This record gives sequence, structure tokens and C-alpha cells, in this order.
Amino acid sequence: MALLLRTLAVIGTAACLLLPPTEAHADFAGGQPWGLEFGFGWGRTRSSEYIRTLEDFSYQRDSRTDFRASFALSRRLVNYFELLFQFNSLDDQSFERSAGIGFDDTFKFSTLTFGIHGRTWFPTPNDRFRAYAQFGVGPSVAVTRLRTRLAANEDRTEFRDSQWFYSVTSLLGIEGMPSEHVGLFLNGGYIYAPVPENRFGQRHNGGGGLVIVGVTARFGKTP
Amino acid sequence: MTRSLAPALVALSLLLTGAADCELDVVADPGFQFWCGEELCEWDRTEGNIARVPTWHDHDYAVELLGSPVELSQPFTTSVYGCILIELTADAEPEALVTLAIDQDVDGVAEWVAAVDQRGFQRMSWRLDVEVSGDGTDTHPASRMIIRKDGEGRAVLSQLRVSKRCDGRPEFNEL
Repeated sequence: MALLLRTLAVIGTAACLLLPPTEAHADFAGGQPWGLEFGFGWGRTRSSEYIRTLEDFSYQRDSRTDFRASFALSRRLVNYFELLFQFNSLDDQSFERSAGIGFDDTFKFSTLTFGIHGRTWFPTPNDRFRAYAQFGVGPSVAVTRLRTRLAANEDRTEFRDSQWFYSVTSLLGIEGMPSEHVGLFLNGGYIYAPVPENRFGQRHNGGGGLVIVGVTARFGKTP
Repeated sequence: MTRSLAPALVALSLLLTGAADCELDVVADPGFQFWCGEELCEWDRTEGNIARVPTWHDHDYAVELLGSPVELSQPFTTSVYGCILIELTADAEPEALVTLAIDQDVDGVAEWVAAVDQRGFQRMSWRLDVEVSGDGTDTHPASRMIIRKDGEGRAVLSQLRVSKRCDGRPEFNEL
């Protein structure tokens, strides 16, 4: 994590040094200031004390999705720098446990993050391609759902909860604009989103490593 | 011919469905989660006091054994003649002097006793070769699983899975 952050800092500094601050020009996609991005891909988080505690309490993993999705709205502020409001869907797992009369206790959690990101990119000979580094912070939320029997009958009681904490995102990516307004991107990196948390104070990182591919749209009047 | 094929077909279906890896809880309410007021519905409290307490989740409950002595027990629900796997998740201080026992013939003398001194809701397990009766009658009552606390320390029990399960090569403790 520290190495990744250091690498991003070096890349960002290099990008700034290569660009004269007074030079204003169309640095990507004709300088269109607004962007929309939608992507999906793969991600995986490591196991944790939180998961091991579930297993100690006899829960067995029923499903786990490696699917990841992201959505972002971006606004170019200055040359080679834009701000994004980005949403990511992250870890989603479900567990089940026998209460002695079948597999009838279930526990599920889903993790989401959204936040403000900064993105800087390298100068390229033409403005149809870029390689970028991105860093963001914001809240993360885990929605949990426990369905459990409190008596030896058919009824199960459901308890829903939302747990909020912070998230930190670092990504490296490439993006190409074959047409004026539509392009493709590929990015990958790491998201730290330490939710959910149990009563013992153990947290699960609902983020982890991820790789996203998607489409991007640029629009708006060139300043 | 049909009759001679039937057992083979049953055995084949068991293998295909995985049922041959026998796994069956042989105590009721292994999670101490069925409460009838202040008492556990499926466990008999013969001494002391108990309380329902939350564990890793506000609504995932366990039983705390309060004070000393405390004893909970219940008859086995199924007869077992072979190996069983006992798994217990507990937060028990050594000074609580918690024991888990099996009284095979219900004569008040436990044939198997194990100390429970695991802190922090870690899981303990034992593999046993047993002959316990789960279909008790008035003259031959069912064998009993007994939980006992004889000290003043904290003791919370969350999961007591006792299953007919024979995966791998168990290290048997003969009763």
C-alpha cells in the first residue's frame, strides 16, 4: 500500500514537472471538460479475522462475487488534472449456518464506496490517449443482513444494518478516445474500505485489488 | 434382480449427493439460540443461572453461564455407534472451570469429560468413538450431553456442534 502511494506521488510529480504551468491547451479529448465513465470487472479481497470469526460461529460461505462495477462523473479543472465523483461496488458475500434443523441462518454483506478522486495524466503526442494515476477518499458503507431463528419454528427474524467508515482508493489506468465523444478505459488498483465490522471490533476490508474495463464519454464545450 | 440392485442404487445416490459423508447434528439447538423466555428451550438447566448474550452480532446470541455451579444438559437426539465430531465455540476463562461431558448410560458418572478453557470465541474440537443412545425410554434413558461450570470466571458458549461426521482419519478417544 505504502509503495503504491509512493509510486502514485512520483507519477503525479513527474506529470506536473513535464507540464509548464502557463501552457493551456487541449490535453485530452479535445479538452472537453466533462466525462462519464461506466465500468465493470474483477476484484478480490483477502480473508480477514472478521470472516474467520464467522466461520468460528459455524457460518459457511454460500456465495461470494468477484464482480466489481464503477461509475464516475469527472470534471477537468486544469491541464492534466480532473476531479471525479466515483462510485464502486465491492465485496459481496453470503454465509449460511444450520440451526440444527437445516441451513436456516443466513448472513450477507455488500460493500460500496463513493468519494472524491483526483486524476492526473501523462502528456501524449496527440490528445486521444492517456495514461493516468488516480487517488481518492470518501465514505464506504457495508449493508449487512442477518436472518436467524430465535425459536424452533418456521419464523426467521431479519436484522438489517448499515455500517459507515472511510475508504482510500488508488488506481492506475489507460484510456483511449477513438471517436470525439466515446472511448474505452482500463484501470486497476487497490481500494481500502474497512467495513463491515463486528461487535468484537474486527473489520473486513471490503475493497481489495480490482481491475475495471469500461466505456467513457466526454462532452462539454472546450474552454 | 430389481431387488438386488436397489441397495446399490441407494448407495450410488448417496455417493452422488454427498450424503455418504455423514453429517448430522445429534444435539438439539447447537447454537443456544432457541430461548423460551429466560430459559433455553432445548437444554435442561439443572443448576445455576444463565443469560442470553450477544456475540459477534447484536442479534446472534449465545448462553452465558452465570456464577457457580451451573449445569446444562440434554439427551442425544440420535443414537450413534461410531465416531462423532464435537466442535465448541466458547469464550471461557480457565478459572471458570467449564467442562463438557457425555454421560453414556445416565448413571450420573460421565464417561467422557473435556475441559473448556478457550478464550475469545475460538473453536475447540474433539473426535470420539462413542456408543450413545438417542432413543431413550423410561427404563433406558438416552445418553446425555452435559455442560458444567464450577468456577467464577466468565463463560459464554456459542456453538456446540455434535455431529456424526467422519472425514479424514480421526484420532479416536475411546469412551
